[in-house]
Amino acid sequence: MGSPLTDDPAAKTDGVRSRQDDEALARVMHDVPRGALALSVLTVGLLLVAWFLIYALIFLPRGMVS
Amino acid sequence: MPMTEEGILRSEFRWAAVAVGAVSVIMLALIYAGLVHHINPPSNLETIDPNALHLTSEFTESNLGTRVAADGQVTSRIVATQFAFQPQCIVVPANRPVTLRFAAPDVIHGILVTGTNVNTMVVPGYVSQVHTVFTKTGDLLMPCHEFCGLGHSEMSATVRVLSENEFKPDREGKAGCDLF
Repeated sequence: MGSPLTDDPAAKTDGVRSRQDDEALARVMHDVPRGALALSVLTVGLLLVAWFLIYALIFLPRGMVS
Repeated sequence: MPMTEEGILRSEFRWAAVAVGAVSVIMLALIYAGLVHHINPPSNLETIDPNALHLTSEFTESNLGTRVAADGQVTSRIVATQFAFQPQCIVVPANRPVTLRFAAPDVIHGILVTGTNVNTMVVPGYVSQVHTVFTKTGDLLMPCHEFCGLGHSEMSATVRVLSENEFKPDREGKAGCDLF
């Protein structure tokens, strides 16, 4: 994503915009993993909690079987 | 958290550790249920000729239902067939070990007893056996849970769980719903 080799003012503007986009992308990429991690922890955590609720409140009280 | 190669690798390892930890905890919970609460998948390998169920000594009509052996062992024998259980109702005592034995002459069936962990397939050619202890008295529904044909949805039986005082087999040790 380098700036184009031209004196065209519009292209210069594009180059500035491109640099800004790169910085924004770097900022977003810096922040994204935290959100992804939080979402993963939340969903997997809820799944595990649901599993243990069914295990403790339904499966174990239903008694022995073999 | 910087997006460097090292940072990515570290979070991958951490997440892998979380996954291994979660699976380990679940495995420990299942081992605990098996060892402490005796909740194990029924695993009985016993063959029987499905074409001669009515001729074998165990699953002849007169031997179906609940029978208490001389040593006090309670065994219920049930035939699962399209589209009914024979007998339609069995009586078992509460808070005593009970053995349920199933056989099928035609197609694959499956049974579960509502509100309990009793759940097994009934496959022609094999005897399915489940050991359990019923802790609550009352009538429990035992439907077929494996699609066995057009009448599958009508195929169900009743497990009548009686308290120790109410459960009184006859002189031969047999107990049926008609007695209670």
